[in-house]
Amino acid sequence: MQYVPDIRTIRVMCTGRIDPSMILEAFLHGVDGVLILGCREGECHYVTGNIEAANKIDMTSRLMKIIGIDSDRLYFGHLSSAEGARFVELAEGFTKRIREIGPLGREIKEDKEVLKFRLEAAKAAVESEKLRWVIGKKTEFMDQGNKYGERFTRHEIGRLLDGILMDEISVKEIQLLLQERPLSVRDVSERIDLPPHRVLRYIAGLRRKGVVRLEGTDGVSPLYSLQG
Amino acid sequence: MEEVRIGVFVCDCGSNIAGFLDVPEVVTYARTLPNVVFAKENLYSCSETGITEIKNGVKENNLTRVVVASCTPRTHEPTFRSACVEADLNPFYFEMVNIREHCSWVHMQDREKATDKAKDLVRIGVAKAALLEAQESIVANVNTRVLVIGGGVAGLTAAVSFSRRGFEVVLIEKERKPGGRLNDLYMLYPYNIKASDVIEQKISDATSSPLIEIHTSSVIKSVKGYVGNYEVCVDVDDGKSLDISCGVIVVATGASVLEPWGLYNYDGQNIITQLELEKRLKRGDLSVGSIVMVQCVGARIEKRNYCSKICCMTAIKNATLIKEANSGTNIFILYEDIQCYGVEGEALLRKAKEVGVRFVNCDTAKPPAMGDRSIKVYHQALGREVELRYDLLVLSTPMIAREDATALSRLLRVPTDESGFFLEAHVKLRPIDFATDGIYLCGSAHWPADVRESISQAMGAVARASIHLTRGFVEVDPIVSTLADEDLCVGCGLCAALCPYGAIEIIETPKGKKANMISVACKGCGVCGSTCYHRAIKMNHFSNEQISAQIAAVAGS
Repeated sequence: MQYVPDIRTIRVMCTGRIDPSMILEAFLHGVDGVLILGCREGECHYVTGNIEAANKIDMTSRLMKIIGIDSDRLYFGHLSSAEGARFVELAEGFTKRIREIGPLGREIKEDKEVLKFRLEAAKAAVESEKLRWVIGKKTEFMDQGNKYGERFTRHEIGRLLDGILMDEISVKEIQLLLQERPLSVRDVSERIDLPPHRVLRYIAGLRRKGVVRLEGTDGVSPLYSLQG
Repeated sequence: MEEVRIGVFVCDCGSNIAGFLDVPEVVTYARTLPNVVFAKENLYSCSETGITEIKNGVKENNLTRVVVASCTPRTHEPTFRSACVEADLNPFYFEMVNIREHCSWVHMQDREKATDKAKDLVRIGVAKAALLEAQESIVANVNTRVLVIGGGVAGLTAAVSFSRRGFEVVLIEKERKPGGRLNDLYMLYPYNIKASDVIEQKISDATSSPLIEIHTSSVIKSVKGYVGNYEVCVDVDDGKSLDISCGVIVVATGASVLEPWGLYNYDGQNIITQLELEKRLKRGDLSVGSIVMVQCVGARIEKRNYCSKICCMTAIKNATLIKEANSGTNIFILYEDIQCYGVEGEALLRKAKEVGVRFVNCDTAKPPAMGDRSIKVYHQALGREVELRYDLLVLSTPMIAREDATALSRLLRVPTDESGFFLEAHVKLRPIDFATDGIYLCGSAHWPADVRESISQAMGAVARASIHLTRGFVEVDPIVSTLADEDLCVGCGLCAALCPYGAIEIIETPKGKKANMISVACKGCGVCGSTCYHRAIKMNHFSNEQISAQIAAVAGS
């Protein structure tokens, strides 16, 4: 039983331990792919750990798509500890796919700094309260329904999640930009390629939360900066 | 802050590692890593010499952390942790790097790349080692009362064994009377002991023991708690519910027997199962001229791909008994493979042949076909189809997992396998334990087992469980979640909602609602830690900082 020597391992007690921010952290460090291996579905050694992991990994991979990174760079494989042959198959298959995609960042037109910026925003996004709740409640919403007894299909929850991810990543990107220096809505809009009206909406939201304040004006444009 | 002084020991594992990668190069590389003050090659790190080298290495170099790069932690992590303890180091100041299963064994064709990988893996291990923290094991008292679920031969044996050790037992049986499958059986192989004798003895031992409380027609409703302190709610006989506090739980719920409706024109009259044959033999109302038995009916097929293991011996035993009682009866056993392991099993097979039971080896590609009161089968030795007439067709069907096993497995939070049988913690290392501490498994609930095996397993489960009971306390691996920063916790309860072990509760404190970790119930999966958005939770031994350091080390920084 032999496989490609390209994989480096980090041991966790359960895939449930894996925080989505760890995955993005790995990409920030320049790894080309993250392969997560856990128990087979329904056979989790920790009962539901791999289900929670699957929810988190699915969210991360949606986020990767949004920021333009090939989501094949993240793969969640299932096997039991007795399935050496399957491990080899997964390791080989994943490595082959990563070799096809090439080094991290090849899929985006912009430079390395943009990649880093987006990954940092994504990392901040997955740490947000709202996403943690949506992901934490995902299984319950799909199996038992929410407070009002409404059950979500995989498709519905995916659509909901994509909307929230889009909002969260935009908000985090805006925060990261404002961290550097005060900017106008137009500046932000150009930097992150988002229509001005949406940027304004997010900034208004951030102002309401007291995260962003009005710093001054540049001609007729208001400038915003992060609150202390 | 204390100085971190890491020692790295790289194991040759004879030629298992050293034969496929450059160990001296890995050692030299390890010396260049941050915080590493000592690195050494061991011929076998796990041998007495290796352990001594580790202990001396710690003492002579004032090491505060130990990294061993060798094999899988599944085999020797405890060994090396003990070595640390003997060298006056906290066992959790040890980090294991697997350069055998993860490296030398799987990259035998490329020495250079294997060496590179081993160096990287050591670097990742060292990165974590630098941040390791001492952990103290968690201790909780053990309630010495026992709950046994299932009143068949396994459950009764377990109950009686516990009582003989002086422990109180509550035995829960679903049916109206205890005894289980043995109530239906005739004789038990290999020595033709009456099943009723065995089970009546067990029942009388159990009912006469003042320490055993038996509840029949009872079903488990809920299970809470953890090793040493389980709280189980049972629906008992008279519609009432009973709360049982116990320290350990033994699962001995047995299995069902497949009723092969739709196969071989099964009708329960002239075409019956081996179990129904046993019942008839027990009643003594069997007088037929010719019997054909078919093995592996509904077993070893795609849907049920396992061998039920006990049916061959059952068929051989029943055929021999019938033949011995009436040598005029014609008996054929149609089989694909015969499973009669053990000295007695082999002897019984020979005896069956001696008394005139005829065995016909079938070809899986040409399965038997049903005729009118006859069965047509391709006889491999004769090379042609033969037609066997029968008065009674006996189908050997496999034991299958009980339908209610899934529900029980959910209540106990223990796994079942793909066939629905309960799944042990480890096939070889922990064959009668569940992964969840304090819950044990015996008899056919685990896998088709004969009576001898069920009894051995029951006694084994009692022996295993008694470790906790006689000790009186449990020590839990301190790899658990902790509320590291109470001020950060807002008591939102998301962690508690997602904990698969019910090990987190939200409590009122002077500072408001906060999460409270029940460490002894925590298994350390880390779901809570990877969920908390306030980063108030810390996973011992797998902290965010430690994992982040490893991630950075993967990239080489």
